[in-house]
Amino acid sequence: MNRSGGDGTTPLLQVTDLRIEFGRSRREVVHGISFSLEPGERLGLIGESGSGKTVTALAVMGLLAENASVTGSIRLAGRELVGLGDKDLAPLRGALMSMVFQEPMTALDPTMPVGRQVAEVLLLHQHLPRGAARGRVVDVLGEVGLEDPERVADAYPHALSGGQRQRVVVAMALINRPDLVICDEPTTALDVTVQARVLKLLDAELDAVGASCLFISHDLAVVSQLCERVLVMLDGAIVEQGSVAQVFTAPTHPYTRGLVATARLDAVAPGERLPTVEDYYARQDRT
Amino acid sequence: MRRAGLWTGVFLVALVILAALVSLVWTPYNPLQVQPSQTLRPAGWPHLLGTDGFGIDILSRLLVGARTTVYVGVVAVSLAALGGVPLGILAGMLGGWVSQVVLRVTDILYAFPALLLAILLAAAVGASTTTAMVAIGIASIPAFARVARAATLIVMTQDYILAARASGTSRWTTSVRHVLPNIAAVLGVQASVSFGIAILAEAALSYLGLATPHPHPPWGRMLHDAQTYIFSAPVQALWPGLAIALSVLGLNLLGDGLRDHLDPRLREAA
Repeated sequence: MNRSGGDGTTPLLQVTDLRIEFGRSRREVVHGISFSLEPGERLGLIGESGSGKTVTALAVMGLLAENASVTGSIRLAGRELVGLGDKDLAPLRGALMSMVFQEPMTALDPTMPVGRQVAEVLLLHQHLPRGAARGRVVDVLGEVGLEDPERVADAYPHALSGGQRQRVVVAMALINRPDLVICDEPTTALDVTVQARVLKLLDAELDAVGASCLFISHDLAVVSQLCERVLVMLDGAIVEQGSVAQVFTAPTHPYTRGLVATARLDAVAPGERLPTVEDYYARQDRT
Repeated sequence: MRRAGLWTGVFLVALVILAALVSLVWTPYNPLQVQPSQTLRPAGWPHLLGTDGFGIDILSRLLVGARTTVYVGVVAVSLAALGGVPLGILAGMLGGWVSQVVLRVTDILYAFPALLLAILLAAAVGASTTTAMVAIGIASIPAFARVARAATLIVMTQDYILAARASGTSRWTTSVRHVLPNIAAVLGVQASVSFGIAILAEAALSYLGLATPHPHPPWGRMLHDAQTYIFSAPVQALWPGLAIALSVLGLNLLGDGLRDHLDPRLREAA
């Protein structure tokens, strides 16, 4: 069953022929994709809005809406996740696998101090006395680079900046030292300077925890900073995969070539029209 | 100037609650003492609002009546919230057939007006304050269920619900820790509106003699008693009527004010 890279290790995450359908009309949005993720590896998943990347991530977490039907196989550390019920999945979520969300403004509950939210993730999976949990939460908030973590722990989300909130979200995702962290466009909602800092933080924290990462983005530049390997997803299928260097320098699929060209604005001579993806890959059924 | 409505509402509601509290320790006269020599006195001194056909001080009766009003309102609204909110959250979180069943059940409940339900209950188990409260409470469940469901549907689209679930929080814990606090504001608005409806229903029921028997006459009963003297002492009916109207007005202003104050967009949600 294992189709790992030939070096004999078991992949941490093995997705085989994953198909996802929605609704009564059973519209298929992910068409039988397969990929694997080695322990400690960082895999980028690139694609435009609606290409199925977030749906794929949610399928791995088992968090798709009730009207979704998932077929194929998702194995986390050898354990089949497809078909598992909520009761069996909940202990894995936040402990073995966790998720960093795109929008730090809405990823934190506005009615709860952020420290309590981080503590909630900790206490769900570890039995600690309240006091010890608090200490650990403050430690982790400090580790993700928040100044004055004691004060931040007691703050409500609205009192924090976007960058601070995203650091809290990262702390929530990493506090239980998961094996797999899924990052769903974690820096898209942040401005460029904060984005660079959060990426650096993610880089350091993933190393510190030793977690694998499935990093979802539409931004090639961001993915190239963090990941070793990259998948390109288009309309629910993986059209290209390989090392970041390979995909960046020698893209084979026209869509990827378009992506690379649009990401390299420095290659465009002044006065010339900027390239678009459509220059390389024209699609008929665009709405 | 929307705040003016909110504060008028707060003031009127506070007045009713204050009246109920004051009546516990002090009333100008004994609200149960019949004084045949003092019947149908006009407003003035020493009976500020006059006396009724039994010679009972009307102000004292009003104060004691506020107690019943607040009591019935609080119990009925609590009952409605306890029944309706979990149903609404359940429907909003699970969707699908659960949602359909809850919606159809609330539709059926909606078909029974509070008054009809109270009359049915009174016929079955006898007229009492408890009967009235239970009937009004049950009749208010659908409103709470629908508002809770609508608000839950909105909250469920937020990332923090997904984030909680992605952290391994169970559905049940998520609903109590993350959904309920986030819809509490809308529920507060609904509670104040339902409270007003409950007061009105209670007044109607006691007017019809289907709620509180003597000796703790609520405002509706006072209206009923005053009806006998509608031609000889018409002002007598004014006081309980005014009390009912102002407290309902206060609660509605409070509900509307809260809704505007909390979030103008909640209008669509509710």
